[in-house]
Amino acid sequence: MSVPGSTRVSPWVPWTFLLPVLVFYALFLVFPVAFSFDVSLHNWNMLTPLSASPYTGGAQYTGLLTDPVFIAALEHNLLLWILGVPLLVGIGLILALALEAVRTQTALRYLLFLPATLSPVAIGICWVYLLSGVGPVNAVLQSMGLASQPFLSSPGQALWVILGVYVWSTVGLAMLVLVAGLKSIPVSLLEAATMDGATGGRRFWHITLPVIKPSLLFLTVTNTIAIWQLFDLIAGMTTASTGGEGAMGGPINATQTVATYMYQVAFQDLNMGKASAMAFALLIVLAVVTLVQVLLFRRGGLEVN
Amino acid sequence: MRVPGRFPVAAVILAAGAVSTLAPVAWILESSLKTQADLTLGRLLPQALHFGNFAAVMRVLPFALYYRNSVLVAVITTLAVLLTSALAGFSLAKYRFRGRAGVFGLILATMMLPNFVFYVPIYYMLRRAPLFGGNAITGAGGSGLLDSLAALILPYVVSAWGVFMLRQSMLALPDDLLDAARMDGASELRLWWQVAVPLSAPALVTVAVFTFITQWNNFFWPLIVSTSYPSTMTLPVGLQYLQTTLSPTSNEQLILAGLVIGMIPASLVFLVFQRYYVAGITLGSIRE
Repeated sequence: MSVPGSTRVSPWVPWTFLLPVLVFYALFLVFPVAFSFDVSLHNWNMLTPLSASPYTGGAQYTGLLTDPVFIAALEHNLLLWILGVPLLVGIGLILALALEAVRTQTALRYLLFLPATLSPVAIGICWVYLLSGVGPVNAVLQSMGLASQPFLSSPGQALWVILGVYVWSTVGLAMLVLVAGLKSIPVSLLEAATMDGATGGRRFWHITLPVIKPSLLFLTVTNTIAIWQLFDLIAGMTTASTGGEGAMGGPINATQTVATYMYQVAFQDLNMGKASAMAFALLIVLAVVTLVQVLLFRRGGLEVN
Repeated sequence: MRVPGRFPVAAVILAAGAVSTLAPVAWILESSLKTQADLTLGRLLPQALHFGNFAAVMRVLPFALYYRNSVLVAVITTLAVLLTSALAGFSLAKYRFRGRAGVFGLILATMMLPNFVFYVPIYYMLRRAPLFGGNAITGAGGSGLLDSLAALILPYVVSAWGVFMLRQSMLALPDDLLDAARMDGASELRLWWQVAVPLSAPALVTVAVFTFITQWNNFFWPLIVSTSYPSTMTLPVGLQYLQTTLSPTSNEQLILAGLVIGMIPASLVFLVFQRYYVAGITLGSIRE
Protein backbone atom coordinates (compact mmCIF):
# COMPACT_ATOMS: atom_id res chain seq x y z
CA MET A 1 0.00 0.00 0.00
CA SER A 2 1.16 3.52 -0.70
CA VAL A 3 -0.35 4.93 2.48
CA PRO A 4 2.43 6.53 4.54
CA GLY A 5 3.53 4.60 7.60
CA SER A 6 2.23 7.33 9.83
CA THR A 7 -1.32 5.98 9.53
CA ARG A 8 -0.33 2.85 11.42
CA VAL A 9 1.08 4.79 14.36
CA SER A 10 -0.90 5.37 17.53
CA PRO A 11 -2.52 8.83 17.56
CA TRP A 12 -0.73 9.53 20.84
CA VAL A 13 2.68 9.59 19.16
CA PRO A 14 2.44 12.95 17.34
CA TRP A 15 0.94 14.63 20.41
CA THR A 16 3.74 13.24 22.58
CA PHE A 17 6.33 14.78 20.26
CA LEU A 18 4.43 18.07 20.47
CA LEU A 19 4.07 17.98 24.25
CA PRO A 20 7.11 20.10 25.24
CA VAL A 21 6.17 22.82 22.76
CA LEU A 22 2.52 22.77 23.81
CA VAL A 23 3.35 23.00 27.52
CA PHE A 24 5.69 25.95 27.06
CA TYR A 25 3.29 27.59 24.61
CA ALA A 26 0.48 27.40 27.10
CA LEU A 27 2.67 28.71 29.95
CA PHE A 28 4.74 31.39 28.23
CA LEU A 29 2.56 32.42 25.31
CA VAL A 30 -1.14 31.72 25.48
CA PHE A 31 -1.58 32.44 29.17
CA PRO A 32 0.59 35.62 29.15
CA VAL A 33 -1.32 37.12 26.21
CA ALA A 34 -4.65 36.59 27.96
CA PHE A 35 -3.24 37.78 31.28
CA SER A 36 -1.67 40.84 29.65
CA PHE A 37 -4.99 41.81 28.10
CA ASP A 38 -6.69 41.47 31.47
CA VAL A 39 -3.96 43.66 33.02
CA SER A 40 -4.58 46.34 30.38
CA LEU A 41 -8.15 46.66 31.69
CA HIS A 42 -6.96 47.35 35.25
CA ASN A 43 -4.96 49.85 37.22
CA TRP A 44 -2.32 47.48 38.57
CA ASN A 45 1.11 47.92 40.17
CA MET A 46 2.06 44.21 40.38
CA LEU A 47 2.42 44.41 44.16
CA THR A 48 -1.16 43.34 44.92
CA PRO A 49 -3.14 40.54 43.26
CA LEU A 50 -4.68 41.66 39.96
CA SER A 51 -8.15 40.78 41.19
CA ALA A 52 -7.79 43.29 44.04
CA SER A 53 -6.87 46.17 41.73
CA PRO A 54 -9.34 48.70 40.31
CA TYR A 55 -11.01 47.72 37.01
CA THR A 56 -10.69 50.54 34.50
CA GLY A 57 -12.27 49.07 31.37
CA GLY A 58 -10.87 50.72 28.24
CA ALA A 59 -9.64 53.78 30.15
CA GLN A 60 -5.96 52.77 29.78
CA TYR A 61 -6.42 52.71 26.00
CA THR A 62 -8.24 56.01 25.71
CA GLY A 63 -5.71 57.51 28.13
CA LEU A 64 -2.92 56.66 25.68
CA LEU A 65 -4.51 58.84 23.00
CA THR A 66 -4.21 61.91 25.22
CA ASP A 67 -0.74 61.10 26.57
CA PRO A 68 1.66 63.49 24.78
CA VAL A 69 4.70 61.30 25.52
CA PHE A 70 3.06 58.22 24.00
CA ILE A 71 1.99 60.19 20.93
CA ALA A 72 5.52 61.57 20.58
CA ALA A 73 6.93 58.05 20.94
CA LEU A 74 4.62 56.81 18.17
CA GLU A 75 5.74 59.70 15.95
CA HIS A 76 9.39 58.86 16.59
CA ASN A 77 8.82 55.20 15.69
CA LEU A 78 6.92 56.29 12.57
CA LEU A 79 9.75 58.58 11.46
CA LEU A 80 12.43 55.96 12.11
CA TRP A 81 10.37 53.39 10.19
CA ILE A 82 9.46 55.54 7.17
CA LEU A 83 13.03 56.75 6.68
CA GLY A 84 14.96 53.82 8.15
CA VAL A 85 13.63 51.00 5.99
CA PRO A 86 14.14 52.68 2.58
CA LEU A 87 17.58 53.99 3.61
CA LEU A 88 18.66 50.61 4.88
CA VAL A 89 17.36 48.66 1.90
CA GLY A 90 18.59 51.28 -0.58
CA ILE A 91 22.13 51.50 0.78
CA GLY A 92 22.23 47.73 1.26
CA LEU A 93 21.25 47.26 -2.40
CA ILE A 94 23.86 49.76 -3.64
CA LEU A 95 26.55 47.97 -1.62
CA ALA A 96 25.36 44.56 -2.83
CA LEU A 97 25.44 45.66 -6.50
CA ALA A 98 28.88 47.22 -5.99
CA LEU A 99 30.13 44.03 -4.34
CA GLU A 100 28.90 41.97 -7.29
CA ALA A 101 30.89 44.20 -9.64
CA VAL A 102 34.31 43.70 -8.06
CA ARG A 103 36.63 40.74 -7.64
CA THR A 104 37.74 40.88 -3.99
CA GLN A 105 34.39 40.05 -2.45
CA THR A 106 35.11 37.92 0.61
CA ALA A 107 37.21 40.33 2.67
CA LEU A 108 34.84 43.21 1.94
CA ARG A 109 31.83 41.10 2.84
CA TYR A 110 33.31 40.30 6.24
CA LEU A 111 34.28 43.91 6.82
CA LEU A 112 30.90 45.40 5.90
CA PHE A 113 29.11 42.77 7.96
CA LEU A 114 31.14 43.57 11.10
CA PRO A 115 28.67 46.00 12.78
CA ALA A 116 25.86 43.46 12.44
CA THR A 117 27.80 41.11 14.74
CA LEU A 118 27.90 43.60 17.63
CA SER A 119 25.20 43.75 20.26
CA PRO A 120 22.94 46.80 19.77
CA VAL A 121 23.49 48.07 23.33
CA ALA A 122 27.25 47.96 22.87
CA ILE A 123 26.90 49.76 19.52
CA GLY A 124 24.81 52.42 21.21
CA ILE A 125 27.38 52.97 23.96
CA CYS A 126 30.21 53.10 21.42
CA TRP A 127 28.47 55.86 19.50
CA VAL A 128 27.98 57.90 22.67
CA TYR A 129 31.77 58.23 22.78
CA LEU A 130 32.26 58.53 19.03
CA LEU A 131 29.84 61.47 19.03
CA SER A 132 30.83 63.17 22.29
CA GLY A 133 32.11 66.74 22.40
CA VAL A 134 35.75 65.60 22.40
CA GLY A 135 35.03 62.52 20.29
CA PRO A 136 36.44 61.66 16.87
CA VAL A 137 33.40 62.68 14.82
CA ASN A 138 33.53 66.23 16.12
CA ALA A 139 37.31 66.21 15.66
CA VAL A 140 36.78 65.38 11.98
CA LEU A 141 34.14 68.13 11.65
CA GLN A 142 36.49 70.69 13.20
CA SER A 143 39.41 69.64 11.02
CA MET A 144 37.21 70.36 8.01
CA GLY A 145 36.47 73.81 9.41
CA LEU A 146 32.92 72.94 10.48
CA ALA A 147 31.27 73.68 13.80
CA SER A 148 31.22 70.95 16.39
CA GLN A 149 27.75 69.42 16.94
CA PRO A 150 25.94 68.42 20.15
CA PHE A 151 24.45 65.28 18.52
CA LEU A 152 22.94 63.12 21.30
CA SER A 153 22.64 65.95 23.81
CA SER A 154 20.52 68.00 21.41
CA PRO A 155 16.76 67.29 21.37
CA GLY A 156 16.71 68.37 17.72
CA GLN A 157 19.50 66.05 16.57
CA ALA A 158 19.34 62.96 18.79
CA LEU A 159 16.63 61.10 16.86
CA TRP A 160 18.43 61.66 13.55
CA VAL A 161 21.61 60.31 15.08
CA ILE A 162 19.74 57.21 16.20
CA LEU A 163 18.34 56.76 12.70
CA GLY A 164 21.87 56.98 11.30
CA VAL A 165 23.33 54.51 13.79
CA TYR A 166 20.48 52.06 13.20
CA VAL A 167 21.18 52.11 9.47
CA TRP A 168 24.94 51.86 10.11
CA SER A 169 24.50 48.81 12.31
CA THR A 170 22.11 46.85 10.09
CA VAL A 171 23.13 47.71 6.55
CA GLY A 172 25.74 44.91 6.43
CA LEU A 173 23.11 42.27 7.04
CA ALA A 174 20.83 43.84 4.41
CA MET A 175 23.72 43.75 1.96
CA LEU A 176 24.36 40.05 2.62
CA VAL A 177 20.70 39.16 2.12
CA LEU A 178 20.62 41.08 -1.15
CA VAL A 179 23.89 39.54 -2.36
CA ALA A 180 22.28 36.14 -1.83
CA GLY A 181 19.26 37.38 -3.79
CA LEU A 182 21.41 38.71 -6.63
CA LYS A 183 23.26 35.39 -6.88
CA SER A 184 19.97 33.67 -7.71
CA ILE A 185 19.62 35.65 -10.97
CA PRO A 186 20.47 33.36 -13.91
CA VAL A 187 23.50 34.81 -15.67
CA SER A 188 22.14 33.57 -19.00
CA LEU A 189 19.06 35.76 -18.54
CA LEU A 190 21.15 38.90 -18.06
CA GLU A 191 23.36 37.99 -21.02
CA ALA A 192 20.34 37.41 -23.24
CA ALA A 193 18.91 40.79 -22.20
CA THR A 194 22.21 42.50 -23.00
CA MET A 195 22.28 40.84 -26.44
CA ASP A 196 18.76 42.12 -27.04
CA GLY A 197 20.11 45.59 -26.36
CA ALA A 198 18.58 46.18 -22.94
CA THR A 199 20.29 49.03 -21.07
CA GLY A 200 21.59 48.70 -17.51
CA GLY A 201 18.55 50.47 -16.12
CA ARG A 202 16.09 48.29 -18.00
CA ARG A 203 17.95 45.09 -17.05
CA PHE A 204 17.83 46.17 -13.40
CA TRP A 205 14.12 47.04 -13.50
CA HIS A 206 12.88 44.02 -15.48
CA ILE A 207 15.22 41.23 -14.38
CA THR A 208 17.13 42.06 -11.18
CA LEU A 209 14.32 43.71 -9.22
CA PRO A 210 11.68 41.00 -9.73
CA VAL A 211 14.16 38.28 -8.74
CA ILE A 212 15.25 39.99 -5.51
CA LYS A 213 11.69 40.97 -4.56
CA PRO A 214 11.45 38.26 -1.85
CA SER A 215 14.70 39.52 -0.30
CA LEU A 216 13.38 43.10 -0.35
CA LEU A 217 10.11 42.06 1.26
CA PHE A 218 11.97 40.04 3.88
CA LEU A 219 14.22 42.98 4.80
CA THR A 220 11.26 45.35 4.88
CA VAL A 221 9.14 43.18 7.14
CA THR A 222 11.90 42.18 9.59
CA ASN A 223 13.24 45.72 9.93
CA THR A 224 9.74 47.11 10.32
CA ILE A 225 9.22 44.78 13.27
CA ALA A 226 12.66 45.67 14.68
CA ILE A 227 12.19 49.45 14.33
CA TRP A 228 8.72 49.50 15.90
CA GLN A 229 10.20 47.62 18.88
CA LEU A 230 13.48 49.57 18.92
CA PHE A 231 14.88 49.62 22.46
CA ASP A 232 18.48 48.38 22.86
CA LEU A 233 20.17 50.99 20.69
CA ILE A 234 18.31 53.85 22.37
CA ALA A 235 18.99 52.49 25.84
CA GLY A 236 22.69 52.34 24.99
CA MET A 237 22.79 55.79 23.41
CA THR A 238 20.64 57.92 25.68
CA THR A 239 21.16 56.59 29.19
CA ALA A 240 24.70 57.84 29.88
CA SER A 241 24.84 60.88 27.65
CA THR A 242 21.91 62.50 29.41
CA GLY A 243 22.67 61.08 32.84
CA GLY A 244 20.80 58.50 34.87
CA GLU A 245 18.37 55.66 34.29
CA GLY A 246 15.30 57.89 34.09
CA ALA A 247 16.69 59.83 31.17
CA MET A 248 16.39 56.93 28.70
CA GLY A 249 14.67 58.22 25.58
CA GLY A 250 16.04 61.70 26.23
CA PRO A 251 17.01 64.43 26.01
CA ILE A 252 13.52 65.57 27.10
CA ASN A 253 11.79 62.55 25.48
CA ALA A 254 13.25 63.47 22.08
CA THR A 255 14.22 59.85 21.37
CA GLN A 256 11.41 58.18 23.30
CA THR A 257 10.00 55.20 21.40
CA VAL A 258 7.04 53.02 22.31
CA ALA A 259 9.50 50.46 23.71
CA THR A 260 11.58 52.81 25.87
CA TYR A 261 8.43 54.49 27.17
CA MET A 262 6.86 51.13 27.94
CA TYR A 263 9.98 50.14 29.89
CA GLN A 264 9.68 53.22 32.05
CA VAL A 265 5.92 52.97 32.54
CA ALA A 266 6.07 49.29 33.48
CA PHE A 267 9.31 48.79 35.35
CA GLN A 268 10.03 52.22 36.81
CA ASP A 269 6.52 53.64 37.42
CA LEU A 270 5.01 50.15 38.00
CA ASN A 271 1.97 51.19 35.95
CA MET A 272 1.33 47.75 34.51
CA GLY A 273 -2.16 48.46 33.16
CA LYS A 274 -0.95 51.34 31.02
CA ALA A 275 2.14 49.43 29.86
CA SER A 276 0.00 46.45 28.80
CA ALA A 277 -2.36 48.74 26.89
CA MET A 278 0.70 50.13 25.10
CA ALA A 279 1.82 46.60 24.20
CA PHE A 280 -1.54 45.86 22.58
CA ALA A 281 -1.54 49.22 20.82
CA LEU A 282 1.86 48.27 19.40
CA LEU A 283 0.50 44.88 18.34
CA ILE A 284 -2.27 46.57 16.37
CA VAL A 285 0.12 49.05 14.74
CA LEU A 286 2.49 46.23 13.76
CA ALA A 287 -0.30 44.09 12.34
CA VAL A 288 -1.62 46.97 10.20
CA VAL A 289 1.82 48.07 9.03
CA THR A 290 2.89 44.54 8.09
CA LEU A 291 -0.35 43.90 6.22
CA VAL A 292 0.03 47.14 4.26
CA GLN A 293 3.59 46.20 3.28
CA VAL A 294 2.68 42.73 2.10
CA LEU A 295 -0.19 44.14 0.03
CA LEU A 296 2.03 46.87 -1.44
CA PHE A 297 4.62 44.31 -2.49
CA ARG A 298 1.95 42.03 -3.90
CA ARG A 299 0.15 44.44 -6.19
CA GLY A 300 1.93 47.73 -6.69
CA GLY A 301 5.33 49.25 -7.23
CA LEU A 302 7.70 46.43 -7.80
CA GLU A 303 5.51 44.20 -9.91
CA VAL A 304 6.54 45.39 -13.33
CA ASN A 305 6.19 42.34 -15.54
CA MET B 1 26.77 42.86 -14.12
CA ARG B 2 30.53 42.62 -14.51
CA VAL B 3 30.93 45.52 -16.91
CA PRO B 4 34.55 46.77 -16.61
CA GLY B 5 33.52 50.41 -16.94
CA ARG B 6 31.53 50.19 -13.71
CA PHE B 7 34.48 49.07 -11.64
CA PRO B 8 35.67 52.49 -10.40
CA VAL B 9 32.17 53.50 -9.20
CA ALA B 10 31.73 50.20 -7.38
CA ALA B 11 35.20 50.47 -5.85
CA VAL B 12 34.54 54.00 -4.59
CA ILE B 13 31.20 52.95 -3.05
CA LEU B 14 32.77 49.95 -1.35
CA ALA B 15 35.74 51.94 -0.10
CA ALA B 16 33.37 54.49 1.44
CA GLY B 17 31.38 51.68 3.04
CA ALA B 18 34.51 49.98 4.37
CA VAL B 19 35.89 53.18 5.88
CA SER B 20 32.63 54.14 7.57
CA THR B 21 32.38 50.60 8.98
CA LEU B 22 35.96 50.18 10.09
CA ALA B 23 36.85 53.68 11.34
CA PRO B 24 34.43 53.74 14.32
CA VAL B 25 35.39 50.20 15.37
CA ALA B 26 39.10 50.99 15.01
CA TRP B 27 38.70 54.13 17.13
CA ILE B 28 36.96 52.17 19.91
CA LEU B 29 39.72 49.54 19.85
CA GLU B 30 42.65 51.95 20.03
CA SER B 31 40.87 54.27 22.47
CA SER B 32 40.49 51.43 24.95
CA LEU B 33 44.27 51.77 25.37
CA LYS B 34 44.20 55.52 26.07
CA THR B 35 44.40 57.43 29.34
CA GLN B 36 41.57 59.72 30.36
CA ALA B 37 43.84 62.65 29.44
CA ASP B 38 44.27 61.31 25.88
CA LEU B 39 40.49 61.17 25.55
CA THR B 40 39.73 64.54 27.10
CA LEU B 41 42.31 66.24 24.91
CA GLY B 42 40.85 64.46 21.88
CA ARG B 43 44.15 62.82 20.89
CA LEU B 44 43.66 60.57 17.88
CA LEU B 45 46.22 58.03 19.15
CA PRO B 46 47.21 57.18 22.73
CA GLN B 47 50.58 58.55 23.90
CA ALA B 48 51.35 55.14 25.38
CA LEU B 49 49.39 51.89 25.26
CA HIS B 50 47.54 51.41 28.55
CA PHE B 51 46.65 47.74 28.67
CA GLY B 52 46.05 48.33 32.36
CA ASN B 53 42.58 49.65 31.44
CA PHE B 54 41.42 46.09 30.90
CA ALA B 55 42.60 44.85 34.28
CA ALA B 56 41.16 47.96 35.92
CA VAL B 57 37.67 47.56 34.46
CA MET B 58 37.63 43.89 35.41
CA ARG B 59 38.30 44.91 39.00
CA VAL B 60 35.35 47.32 38.89
CA LEU B 61 32.78 44.92 37.40
CA PRO B 62 32.54 41.10 37.46
CA PHE B 63 33.08 40.42 33.76
CA ALA B 64 33.79 36.75 34.44
CA LEU B 65 30.31 36.44 35.94
CA TYR B 66 28.76 38.25 32.95
CA TYR B 67 30.54 35.93 30.54
CA ARG B 68 29.55 32.85 32.53
CA ASN B 69 25.90 33.96 32.61
CA SER B 70 25.83 34.90 28.93
CA VAL B 71 27.39 31.59 27.87
CA LEU B 72 25.12 29.51 30.12
CA VAL B 73 21.95 31.28 29.03
CA ALA B 74 22.82 31.22 25.32
CA VAL B 75 23.99 27.58 25.29
CA ILE B 76 21.14 26.15 27.38
CA THR B 77 18.49 28.13 25.51
CA THR B 78 19.92 27.06 22.17
CA LEU B 79 19.97 23.37 23.14
CA ALA B 80 16.42 23.61 24.49
CA VAL B 81 15.18 25.32 21.33
CA LEU B 82 16.83 22.67 19.16
CA LEU B 83 15.22 19.88 21.19
CA THR B 84 11.69 21.32 21.29
CA SER B 85 11.83 22.44 17.65
CA ALA B 86 13.09 19.10 16.37
CA LEU B 87 10.43 17.19 18.34
CA ALA B 88 7.55 19.42 17.28
CA GLY B 89 8.85 19.82 13.74
CA PHE B 90 8.95 16.06 13.29
CA SER B 91 5.43 15.67 14.59
CA LEU B 92 4.04 18.41 12.34
CA ALA B 93 5.93 17.22 9.26
CA LYS B 94 5.65 13.45 9.41
CA TYR B 95 2.37 12.50 11.10
CA ARG B 96 -1.19 12.98 9.94
CA PHE B 97 -3.49 13.69 12.86
CA ARG B 98 -6.53 15.75 13.70
CA GLY B 99 -5.53 19.17 15.00
CA ARG B 100 -2.23 19.33 13.14
CA ALA B 101 -3.24 22.28 10.97
CA GLY B 102 -4.59 24.08 14.04
CA VAL B 103 -1.37 23.66 16.03
CA PHE B 104 0.77 24.76 13.08
CA GLY B 105 -1.48 27.76 12.44
CA LEU B 106 -1.23 28.81 16.09
CA ILE B 107 2.57 28.60 15.96
CA LEU B 108 2.73 30.67 12.76
CA ALA B 109 0.33 33.27 14.16
CA THR B 110 2.44 33.82 17.27
CA MET B 111 5.51 34.65 15.20
CA MET B 112 3.88 38.05 14.64
CA LEU B 113 3.27 39.00 18.28
CA PRO B 114 5.54 41.74 19.65
CA ASN B 115 7.57 40.61 22.66
CA PHE B 116 6.27 43.49 24.72
CA VAL B 117 2.95 41.71 25.17
CA PHE B 118 4.72 39.06 27.26
CA TYR B 119 7.15 40.89 29.52
CA VAL B 120 4.75 42.06 32.26
CA PRO B 121 2.85 38.78 32.72
CA ILE B 122 5.96 36.58 32.54
CA TYR B 123 7.79 38.75 35.05
CA TYR B 124 4.85 38.39 37.42
CA MET B 125 4.53 34.63 36.80
CA LEU B 126 8.21 33.98 37.49
CA ARG B 127 8.16 36.08 40.64
CA ARG B 128 5.13 34.16 41.88
CA ALA B 129 6.40 30.68 40.91
CA PRO B 130 5.60 28.49 43.94
CA LEU B 131 8.33 26.78 45.97
CA PHE B 132 11.20 28.67 44.33
CA GLY B 133 13.26 31.54 45.73
CA GLY B 134 11.63 31.38 49.15
CA ASN B 135 8.07 31.34 47.83
CA ALA B 136 5.34 29.45 49.66
CA ILE B 137 3.29 26.84 47.78
CA THR B 138 0.77 29.60 47.02
CA GLY B 139 3.48 31.66 45.35
CA ALA B 140 3.54 34.25 48.11
CA GLY B 141 6.70 35.55 49.74
CA GLY B 142 10.12 35.57 48.06
CA SER B 143 11.46 36.17 44.59
CA GLY B 144 10.28 32.98 42.86
CA LEU B 145 12.45 32.10 39.86
CA LEU B 146 13.48 35.70 39.22
CA ASP B 147 16.80 35.48 41.05
CA SER B 148 18.06 32.56 38.93
CA LEU B 149 19.25 32.14 35.35
CA ALA B 150 16.10 30.04 34.79
CA ALA B 151 14.25 33.35 34.55
CA LEU B 152 16.35 34.21 31.49
CA ILE B 153 15.99 30.79 29.87
CA LEU B 154 12.45 29.51 30.46
CA PRO B 155 10.56 32.14 28.40
CA TYR B 156 12.72 31.32 25.35
CA VAL B 157 12.67 27.51 25.43
CA VAL B 158 10.17 27.36 22.57
CA SER B 159 10.74 29.26 19.34
CA ALA B 160 7.95 29.48 16.78
CA TRP B 161 10.53 30.19 14.11
CA GLY B 162 12.59 27.15 15.19
CA VAL B 163 9.55 24.85 14.97
CA PHE B 164 8.76 26.29 11.55
CA MET B 165 12.32 25.76 10.25
CA LEU B 166 12.55 22.17 11.48
CA ARG B 167 9.12 21.32 10.13
CA GLN B 168 10.08 22.65 6.71
CA SER B 169 13.31 20.68 6.79
CA MET B 170 11.67 17.42 7.93
CA LEU B 171 8.91 17.65 5.31
CA ALA B 172 11.62 16.68 2.83
CA LEU B 173 12.35 13.36 4.58
CA PRO B 174 11.04 10.49 2.43
CA ASP B 175 8.21 8.55 4.12
CA ASP B 176 9.57 5.33 2.58
CA LEU B 177 12.76 5.73 4.56
CA LEU B 178 10.83 6.06 7.82
CA ASP B 179 8.58 3.11 6.91
CA ALA B 180 11.59 0.94 6.15
CA ALA B 181 13.01 1.70 9.57
CA ARG B 182 9.62 0.90 11.14
CA MET B 183 9.62 -2.47 9.37
CA ASP B 184 12.96 -3.15 11.01
CA GLY B 185 11.28 -2.60 14.36
CA ALA B 186 12.59 0.88 15.18
CA SER B 187 10.48 2.79 17.70
CA GLU B 188 9.11 6.23 16.77
CA LEU B 189 11.58 7.89 19.14
CA ARG B 190 14.48 6.04 17.49
CA LEU B 191 13.19 7.11 14.06
CA TRP B 192 13.31 10.69 15.25
CA TRP B 193 16.73 10.49 16.86
CA GLN B 194 18.54 8.27 14.38
CA VAL B 195 16.91 9.25 11.08
CA ALA B 196 15.11 12.59 11.26
CA VAL B 197 17.53 14.53 13.48
CA PRO B 198 20.76 13.65 11.63
CA LEU B 199 19.17 14.36 8.24
CA SER B 200 18.03 17.80 9.48
CA ALA B 201 21.53 18.89 10.45
CA PRO B 202 21.64 21.98 8.18
CA ALA B 203 18.37 23.35 9.57
CA LEU B 204 19.51 22.56 13.12
CA VAL B 205 22.77 24.46 12.59
CA THR B 206 20.91 27.48 11.21
CA VAL B 207 18.46 27.51 14.11
CA ALA B 208 21.33 27.05 16.58
CA VAL B 209 23.37 29.95 15.20
CA PHE B 210 20.39 32.31 15.11
CA THR B 211 19.13 31.36 18.55
CA PHE B 212 22.59 31.66 20.09
CA ILE B 213 23.24 35.11 18.62
CA THR B 214 19.75 36.36 19.53
CA GLN B 215 20.19 35.18 23.12
CA TRP B 216 23.76 36.49 23.33
CA ASN B 217 22.53 39.97 22.38
CA ASN B 218 19.21 39.78 24.21
CA PHE B 219 18.84 42.89 26.33
CA PHE B 220 15.35 44.01 27.38
CA TRP B 221 14.34 40.89 29.31
CA PRO B 222 17.70 40.33 31.09
CA LEU B 223 17.69 44.04 31.94
CA ILE B 224 14.38 43.94 33.78
CA VAL B 225 15.14 40.63 35.49
CA SER B 226 18.63 41.50 36.70
CA THR B 227 17.85 45.04 37.85
CA SER B 228 16.77 43.50 41.15
CA TYR B 229 19.07 40.45 40.97
CA PRO B 230 22.55 41.49 39.73
CA SER B 231 23.89 37.93 40.01
CA THR B 232 21.92 37.14 36.82
CA MET B 233 23.44 39.96 34.75
CA THR B 234 24.53 39.02 31.24
CA LEU B 235 27.10 40.87 29.12
CA PRO B 236 24.79 43.39 27.40
CA VAL B 237 23.23 44.30 30.75
CA GLY B 238 26.69 44.47 32.33
CA LEU B 239 27.85 46.90 29.64
CA GLN B 240 24.80 49.09 30.19
CA TYR B 241 25.42 48.92 33.95
CA LEU B 242 29.04 49.87 33.31
CA GLN B 243 28.11 53.13 31.65
CA THR B 244 25.50 54.04 34.25
CA THR B 245 27.78 53.11 37.19
CA LEU B 246 31.05 54.75 36.14
CA SER B 247 31.18 58.47 35.61
CA PRO B 248 31.71 58.91 31.87
CA THR B 249 33.65 62.14 32.38
CA SER B 250 36.42 60.57 34.45
CA ASN B 251 36.33 56.87 33.49
CA GLU B 252 35.74 56.90 29.75
CA GLN B 253 38.83 54.74 29.14
CA LEU B 254 37.46 52.05 31.47
CA ILE B 255 34.08 52.03 29.75
CA LEU B 256 35.76 51.69 26.37
CA ALA B 257 37.95 48.83 27.66
CA GLY B 258 34.81 47.17 29.03
CA LEU B 259 33.12 47.49 25.64
CA VAL B 260 36.07 45.82 23.93
CA ILE B 261 36.10 42.96 26.47
CA GLY B 262 32.34 42.57 26.15
CA MET B 263 31.84 42.66 22.41
CA ILE B 264 34.97 41.78 20.43
CA PRO B 265 35.38 38.04 21.21
CA ALA B 266 31.77 37.21 20.28
CA SER B 267 31.96 39.46 17.24
CA LEU B 268 34.89 37.46 15.86
CA VAL B 269 33.07 34.17 16.42
CA PHE B 270 29.90 35.49 14.75
CA LEU B 271 31.90 36.69 11.74
CA VAL B 272 33.08 33.11 11.23
CA PHE B 273 29.48 31.90 11.25
CA GLN B 274 28.41 34.60 8.79
CA ARG B 275 27.37 32.16 6.05
CA TYR B 276 24.85 30.45 8.34
CA TYR B 277 23.21 33.82 8.86
CA VAL B 278 22.73 34.07 5.13
CA ALA B 279 21.58 30.47 4.80
CA GLY B 280 18.99 31.02 7.53
CA ILE B 281 17.79 34.29 6.10
CA THR B 282 17.45 32.90 2.60
CA LEU B 283 15.44 29.98 3.92
CA GLY B 284 13.38 32.44 5.95
CA SER B 285 12.61 34.66 2.98
CA ILE B 286 11.38 31.83 0.80
CA ARG B 287 8.26 31.57 2.90
CA GLU B 288 7.30 35.19 2.28
